Amino acid sequence: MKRKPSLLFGLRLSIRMHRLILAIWIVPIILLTPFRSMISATAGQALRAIPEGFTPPAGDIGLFSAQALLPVIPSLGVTLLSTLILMWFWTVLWHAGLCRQLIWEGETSNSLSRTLGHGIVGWWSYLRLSLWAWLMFLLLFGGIGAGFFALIRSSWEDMNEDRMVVLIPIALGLLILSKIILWAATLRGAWELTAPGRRSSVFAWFRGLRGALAQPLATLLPTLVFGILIAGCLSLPLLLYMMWPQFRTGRLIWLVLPGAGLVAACLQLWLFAAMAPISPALPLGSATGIISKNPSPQPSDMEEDSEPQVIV
Amino acid sequence: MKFIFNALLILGIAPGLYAAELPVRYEISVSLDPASHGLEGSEEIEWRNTTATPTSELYFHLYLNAFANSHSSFMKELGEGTLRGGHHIERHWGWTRIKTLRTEGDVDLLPSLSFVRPDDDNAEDHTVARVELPEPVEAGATIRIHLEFEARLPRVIARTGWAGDFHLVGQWFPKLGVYEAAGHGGRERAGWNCHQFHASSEFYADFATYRVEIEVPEDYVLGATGIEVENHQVAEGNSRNLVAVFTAENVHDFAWCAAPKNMMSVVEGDFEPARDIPRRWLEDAMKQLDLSAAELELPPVHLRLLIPKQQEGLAERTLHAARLALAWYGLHYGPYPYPQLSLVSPPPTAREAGGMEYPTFITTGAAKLMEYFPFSGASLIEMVTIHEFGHQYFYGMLASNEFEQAWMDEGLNSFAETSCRAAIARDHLVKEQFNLSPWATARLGFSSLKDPLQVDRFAWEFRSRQNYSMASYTKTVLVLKTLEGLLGEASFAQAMRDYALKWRFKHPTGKDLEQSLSESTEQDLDWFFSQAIEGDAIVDWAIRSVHTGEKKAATGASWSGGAWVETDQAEDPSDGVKKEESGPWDISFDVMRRGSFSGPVKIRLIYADGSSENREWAGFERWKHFSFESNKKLDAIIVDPDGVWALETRRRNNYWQRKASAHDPSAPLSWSLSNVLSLVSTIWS
Repeated sequence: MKRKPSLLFGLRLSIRMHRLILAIWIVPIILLTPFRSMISATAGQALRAIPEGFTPPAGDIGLFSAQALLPVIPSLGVTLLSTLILMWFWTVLWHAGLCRQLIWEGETSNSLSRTLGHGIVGWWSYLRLSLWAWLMFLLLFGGIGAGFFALIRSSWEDMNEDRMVVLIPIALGLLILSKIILWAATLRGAWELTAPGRRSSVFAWFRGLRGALAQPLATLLPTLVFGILIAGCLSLPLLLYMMWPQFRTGRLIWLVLPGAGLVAACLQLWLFAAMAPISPALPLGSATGIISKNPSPQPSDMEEDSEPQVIV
Repeated sequence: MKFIFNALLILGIAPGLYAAELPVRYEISVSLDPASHGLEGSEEIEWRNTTATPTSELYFHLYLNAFANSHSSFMKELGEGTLRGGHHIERHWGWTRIKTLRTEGDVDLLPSLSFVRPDDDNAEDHTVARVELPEPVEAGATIRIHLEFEARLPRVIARTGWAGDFHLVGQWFPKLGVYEAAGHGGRERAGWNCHQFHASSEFYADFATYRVEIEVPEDYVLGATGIEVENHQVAEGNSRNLVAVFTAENVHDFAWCAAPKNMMSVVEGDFEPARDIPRRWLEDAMKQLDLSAAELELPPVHLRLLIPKQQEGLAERTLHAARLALAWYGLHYGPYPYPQLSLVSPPPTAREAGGMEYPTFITTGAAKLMEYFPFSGASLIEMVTIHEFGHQYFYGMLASNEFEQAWMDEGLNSFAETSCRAAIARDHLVKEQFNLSPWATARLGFSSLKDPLQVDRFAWEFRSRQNYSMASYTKTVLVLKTLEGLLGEASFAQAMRDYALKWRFKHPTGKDLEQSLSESTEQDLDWFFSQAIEGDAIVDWAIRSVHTGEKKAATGASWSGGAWVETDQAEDPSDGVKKEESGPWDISFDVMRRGSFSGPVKIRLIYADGSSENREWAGFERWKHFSFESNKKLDAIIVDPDGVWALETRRRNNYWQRKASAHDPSAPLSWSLSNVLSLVSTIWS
């Protein structure tokens, strides 16, 4: 039986692991605190000069913000970059923790410390996997981007805007599709990396890629849909902020912001858990534990048709 | 009375009325060879000396020679080889050459032709030619000359040239400079005003009558200044050519465009005032200008748009923008007096041909992508079309000397364009997804300026092209916005309309503008112009030393019963218990003029009970101390609360609050950004 991602399994697992959901939601918020604090200490401080209830002349808000932020842009950039790196490390950590906990322990304890403990043990392997995914991403995007850039440029030179207008959405579509394939390969590759005796992150990633391409409906489609939903949730407050002036000053933003973040965290865990190597033939009952009863499964257990069968 | 004044002005603006008095008449015949991008032409020029001073020389602009090599003044000033980020012209240079030059009496003038460099002595610049005449042209006399010329157009750069088979033919013919009378623009003696072509400058020429015969391949379409009056085909070897004749009166330049019919479409349209003037604009103008609808009546205008076939979907948007511009400028600066406006949207790779004005002929800027989201949301087409149309007033009809006072065109027009776009945004007349305030954008742009900047300089004297743009466009916009704020919208609008009508076809200078505005508003505005335009004064108001506290009973001796009576220290009735403050309040603060720009400013005091009051300060001293007693507790002070001084970019010190707000206005944005950043980490892992 081929392993197939199961959204149902993913949903059940993510509901069970609500502490991990909270962590996925809260950790980025904490990590981004220095970034927000810098904005608050500069632009926020400058804007506090304007009395509440007073409508400043057109341009004052932009001027105050720009004049406060411009001098700190280098340090803001460094802060942001280091925060993004830390957030990347964090995502690798919980991915590693969940995979190892589920596969090696065969149980889905809601204990965050256990999950993170597993994550710390497997973090380096998973970081290698993620780095490889980055490399693939750069190569693929670079290749597609350069190819289409040359085509679009030649259309421009030929004054053929009709061709250009066709090429641009094709290029964007291909880039999005490649990103979805690479992301799905990384998510599935993460689970492949738990196979006993598997040390090569690169090999695991390619197994993930093969799985993603072999089961596009079960893998790529959910990745695409969840990707859109996650992106939508996380971008929603900013979009509302830009397009709806009342949203900027009202209380609604403080409901939408955490709500959207929490939903996005649920979706992230759901998607990742759905990629677990679970046989859909197995009942997804309420029992916990691992049915192989083998705490150290042998390599043969991880063959495609005989993977460890986990029930949550 | 006002009606008669306006009627006279409007009668006087019809271009045809001046035709007989115009100092120059050009009759040009030219043919284009699209393969070599070459022009062959001849000119009959009739020039009348309108000054009281005879002259025995003529000056010609040979603008195309700016693109002859990398050592021309234009190219040296340009540095990087393109004006607006387009193609570099290397290997596709352009030039022009006068082949023959004779007077009506068949005197050969060519031997006396020499190149002169009045601006920079650059021996390798050949953009101005001087010709000695056999005998002087007396005051009021006319000279007729005939010349033949050849030219090669450059790869499109700085508003002229070719891209593929598309040709925008601007600054293409030998053109006379302007012979100015003594006194004009502060000139001591009469003389020729004929500057070299510079990277940071546009043009200046006499109003003239043009009759231009253009020959192109028969499968070409043409657009040009003026109107087409004749059109026929002639045999040219094995093929046939199209010959079209265009005429234009009371314009100071002539440009044209030619491209194959299979590349460019012609879209015709009309500006029909009854249909195209937004009702609110008319009502606002009537109220603001104190004029009736009849006095604000505008004539219909024919619109002719040349647009790449692939961009046809953007044609209506471009025409819509042109109609809005005709309405706005017509209402505020007087009617557009020509029967036609030609618009050209250059194809891709000809971007440097876009965004340019010639009389009754403008180039816009579009790309097919603008038909699609999200590019459809940016109102670039509207912005460029409105701006370039606006030049028909300040460059076209007022025709100030752009070499010497670029701000008189670019700045005044940018102000009018910004006002027009703000009205469009307010009334939702153009679809825009992201609606940034054009005034706020201008202020933000100006805030990047580090050093004081004088507006009134010759265009090539600015330290950089960015400096030139900042002075001629952005700073002038804010200067005028500030003046509008100081004079009041209605008064300023009336004064600007008076200026635009009074100085039509008369080449006003900055001083003429100042004088006209002063007369209309009945205020001497020298104090303002000398600081804002001729000087480099910086606006910076600030609040200093605010003291506000409950009024205390006096201590010491008090005058009572004809004698000083010592009183004890006032006893504290609260016995150490802090009571709630109830006033009255002693309030004192200083407002400083930190910048060198002086002028009147308003100060708003906001009290704890929500009420507010305004105080005025003439603003000519360095600071002003305010001290008074109030029954209300002071919460905030704001200097220039309405943002009248649009030129001021350091405004944080204009605000004072008793207690800074606990609320962080940046929090919603920083948290929203945080959310998006989480997304980055998610999908990149």
